[in-house]
Amino acid sequence: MKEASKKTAFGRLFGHWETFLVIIFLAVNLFFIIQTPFYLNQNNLMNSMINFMDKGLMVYGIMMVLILGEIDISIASIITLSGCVAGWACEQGCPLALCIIIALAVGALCGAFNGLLLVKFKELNSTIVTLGSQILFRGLAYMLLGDESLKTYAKQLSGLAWDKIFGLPVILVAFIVLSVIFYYVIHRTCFGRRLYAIGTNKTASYFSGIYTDRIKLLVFTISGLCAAFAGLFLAAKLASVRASIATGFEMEVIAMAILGGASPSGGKGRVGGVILGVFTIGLIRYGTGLINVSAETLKIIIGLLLIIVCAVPNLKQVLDDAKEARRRNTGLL
Amino acid sequence: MNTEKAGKLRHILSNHSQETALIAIILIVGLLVQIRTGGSFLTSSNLNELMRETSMLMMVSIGMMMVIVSGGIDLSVGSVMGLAGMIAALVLRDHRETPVFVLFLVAAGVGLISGVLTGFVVAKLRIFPLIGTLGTCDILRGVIYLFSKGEWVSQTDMTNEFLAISTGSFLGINYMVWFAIVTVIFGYIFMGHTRFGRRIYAVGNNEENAKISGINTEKTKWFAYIISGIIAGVAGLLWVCKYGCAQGTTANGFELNVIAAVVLGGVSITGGSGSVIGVVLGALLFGVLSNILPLIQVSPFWQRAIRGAVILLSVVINALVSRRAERKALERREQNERSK
Amino acid sequence: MSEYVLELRDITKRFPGVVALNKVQFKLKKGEIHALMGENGAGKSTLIKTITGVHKPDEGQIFVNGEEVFFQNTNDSAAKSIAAIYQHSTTYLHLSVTENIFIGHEIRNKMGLLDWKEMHRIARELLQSLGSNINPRTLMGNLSVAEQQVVEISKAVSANAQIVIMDEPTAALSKRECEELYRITEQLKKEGKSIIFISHRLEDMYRLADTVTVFRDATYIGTWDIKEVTNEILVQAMVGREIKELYPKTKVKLGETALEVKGLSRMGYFRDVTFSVRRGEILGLTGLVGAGRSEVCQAVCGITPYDAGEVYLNGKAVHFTHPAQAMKHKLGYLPEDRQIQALLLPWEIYRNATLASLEKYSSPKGIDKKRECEDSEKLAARLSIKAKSIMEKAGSLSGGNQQKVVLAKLLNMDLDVLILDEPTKGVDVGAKSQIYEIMTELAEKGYAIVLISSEMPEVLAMSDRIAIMHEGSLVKILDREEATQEKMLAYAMNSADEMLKGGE
Repeated sequence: MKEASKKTAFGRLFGHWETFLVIIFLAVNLFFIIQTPFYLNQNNLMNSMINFMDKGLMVYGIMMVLILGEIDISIASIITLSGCVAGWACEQGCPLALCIIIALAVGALCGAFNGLLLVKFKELNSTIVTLGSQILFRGLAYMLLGDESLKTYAKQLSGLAWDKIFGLPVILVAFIVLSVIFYYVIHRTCFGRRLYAIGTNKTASYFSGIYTDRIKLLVFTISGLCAAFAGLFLAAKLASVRASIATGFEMEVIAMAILGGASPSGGKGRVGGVILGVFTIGLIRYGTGLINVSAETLKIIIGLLLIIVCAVPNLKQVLDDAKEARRRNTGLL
Repeated sequence: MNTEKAGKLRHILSNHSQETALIAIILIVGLLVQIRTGGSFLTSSNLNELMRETSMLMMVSIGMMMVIVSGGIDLSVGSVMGLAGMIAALVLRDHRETPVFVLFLVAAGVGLISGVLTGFVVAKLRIFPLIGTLGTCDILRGVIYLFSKGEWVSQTDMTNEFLAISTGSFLGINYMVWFAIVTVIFGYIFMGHTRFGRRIYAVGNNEENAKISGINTEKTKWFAYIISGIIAGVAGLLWVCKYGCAQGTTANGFELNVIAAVVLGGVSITGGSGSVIGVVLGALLFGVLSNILPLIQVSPFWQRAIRGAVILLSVVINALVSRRAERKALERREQNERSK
Repeated sequence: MSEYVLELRDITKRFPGVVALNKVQFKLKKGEIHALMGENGAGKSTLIKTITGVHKPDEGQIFVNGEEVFFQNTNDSAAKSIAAIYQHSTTYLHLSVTENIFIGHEIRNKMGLLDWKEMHRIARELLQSLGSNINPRTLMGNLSVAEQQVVEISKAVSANAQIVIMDEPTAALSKRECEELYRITEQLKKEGKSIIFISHRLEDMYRLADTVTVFRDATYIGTWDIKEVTNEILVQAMVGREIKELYPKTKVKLGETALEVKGLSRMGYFRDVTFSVRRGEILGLTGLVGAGRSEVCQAVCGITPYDAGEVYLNGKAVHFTHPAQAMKHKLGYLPEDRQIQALLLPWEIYRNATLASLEKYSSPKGIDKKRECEDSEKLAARLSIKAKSIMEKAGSLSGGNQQKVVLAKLLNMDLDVLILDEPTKGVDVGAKSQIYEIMTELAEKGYAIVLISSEMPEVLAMSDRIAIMHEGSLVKILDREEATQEKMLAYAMNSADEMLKGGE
């Protein structure tokens, strides 16, 4: 009985990840506001959106993959491949609209390829499949372009990076729209409920008549599609596409989703939290840029953040085990 | 007596089908390329180069194999190599009189510390290995810049004794290859013939079972990461030696080659099974593939895609083989039941 | 030196929501084979795990050779020469036979390295001494279940175990393999080892045991010498209650055939299974563990595939490849392992109850949570689920209430054929009788029900007809009137001819 009450107290403290997240978010903001007067400059802030929001556009795909209890580290390569194929098509004289469709289609296909492998070969896990396809997809981009960089396609897209709608950057608007759509899909629909069910207990979900394979395939496809969509904005920002763009993006996107409360063990995470996760990491990127922190240091910061964030939910277990071990040792003495 | 020998041979072949297949593939590929290129593959200089190239891959693969057998994965080995190489190179630049073996101790020490950190993250904090090591990969890569401040250490900063490691030879075999040989022998003995090595297998096989039978699963996993780190550290210094420079991007992405070699060698990605011999052959095959692609005029831009395809294909083939074995077991069972 | 090599006093073990052992006793003499009997969920497996140190008892004492012990893990119990062979063998499938035998006490040579040659040699000798010619270099995963058990036994022997525990070792074995196991067990006894033998089969017990101890509902009932025990005493001890009260089965007028299965086969699992069930009927499906009952029913429901045969629902031929299709055709399955196959333990009762019928609540505005809750409240009341509210997590409920949540999920769908796989496994007596009441009520409403169960009294009392499976084949369908425990057991062991003739 006593133990049960202790558990709920702990649950109250750490159970609401979102409260925790709000604190982190505020702390980050406070830190930068003190550090630099330029932080709150609205112009700066809006212009910085393009620098981190492209990762935010991918986060929902990853989030759904994580809810399922899987992982997808091929998304950065999917951006590259879809961008390169579209860029190449553009050079061949395809109209822009068709190029965009091609980009999205390539992204969806890549995601479906991952999903299909996982569904057809249940012996494989998403770690090795997406690790392999991460190399393969970028490799295909290199096969297509070598070290060439293509400008036509990206230049045509440049409006995505620099135009504004109602005074807001296009990319922010896109993120808001995506957030609303995914909020509805993840938290309101049967499909969303089933995602969480699968991530919580795959066998029971299957026995309850959920098409687990179909959903897995669909989720990986969506993840690929999101990556390709983000790729449009990345291409616009960089003003060119080449086979080396978006390297290492997956870590930051995964960090955003996990910071937002998703977990690779599945069944967890809410859209609201993930939005906070996107802005927390995004604003760290923006703020450290203002106070001249090098890109390499930023890498360390985000890596550390990722590890700390992953560790916090496990801390209770780790501490309990340490206690148990100590008890055992003294017991033996 | 003769039949017993034949039975033994059959047993070896069936228990080591992966290794047998790998040897066959390496031989066939080698032969085909030899014919195709009119003999420029099997020349002693090319083979020497091949072995030098593959030696680092082989070493790090042995460490990676231990981690994967324990049920984890380590994406940080490339960064560990870069970091260890850089720190040892900086030591050499600033203290030219440093003996070479001290440099290797420094590199191994850096690898050890990195391994302790990575192991802490995965084994102690229980972070999903892929994500945890993705994190340490970037952290360590960032740390390289903290030490180097963005500078290179170039060949002119290095001593001749140091550079001789990559070119010199002992008993006609290149020093780098000796490093690989020692690592392989160590791995073979450690994984096959010590209690600790076998515990790594037990943990990867059935962690719950290992835990209830009193194996300290946390320590076992941690240890695997530490060894992997030390090997990566030493390999990182060899890398610096071979290419004559240390920079921020040293061995960037090398972990993917390593994982490809390990998977090719038949190590189960879910942990618990895999042999050192298999990994050696996997690394060798991978080395041969990378070596022959330029020989048969494949564009270097194709190599990455081929590497990815090789990883995916080999895991799929492994899955199909184990499926066939399962099906055969079921057939046997069916026959048993029916015959009753 | 105590008379007993192993003695347990007043052991209590609780798990969240259940008392798995309630102040139980157990005494084991040197050199005896001691049978431990009881229904599913009586606490036998927990007892074993307590003896071997997998679980730590919450109360009570364990004595080995008169000396009190506190085991932290299985290494500690192994050090006291206790070894267990579990129901689901807990082996390292990717490692060799030798390694499975020696793990934890490997032999090392002078250099401190493992001496494989010596270990292979000893392993071969051990296996040969048990009359087996398994190659010690084979991977464990390539062996049959029977062979794996032999390896486990030789592991116990190699560790020089004095107390060997066998948890349902014969469950998955064929008759010939059983004989082999009997021989080995007796050999161990002759060598002076003490054996705890857990089994469902009365045959095993009469054949081997010197003493019998019975557990029921997590409590100790009694211990008998094999010579003075009879079937009645044992059944009474194991069931222990007035059967009429517990089983509220009523006579229902049967309707037309609802589900018909013809010649269903799946390679390696079951073959040529034929049965049918009518509206209002409860068909008992029984047999020993591993006879293929669940496998057949899962194949019928589209959960696993099958190779040959036909399934008819209401006279229409169907072939389901996914459980959702079966549900659409009003066929539902309650799985055997509710924690793994049926429930989402971290989820609330109401979300569990509506998981399989989500479409009902879907609207353009999203899932209608209010209606979900209303329906769940109704179901919870109807099934009298004991919980603070429907917002309570399924994981915090007791076994019986968890099972009712699973039933609620089935009832919330529009079904008329139900397959219930061990619906009362690990459920306390009160909840059990409620589940029987629900079954009766459903049958009266015209549901066709297949009841898979290993509990003979339950099958006898609840079924209109009883189908019995043996090693993947359906051997006999008995009518309610002609069925007895002895007959069922005889068919389940496929030794009906000899037993029924010899028995009179």
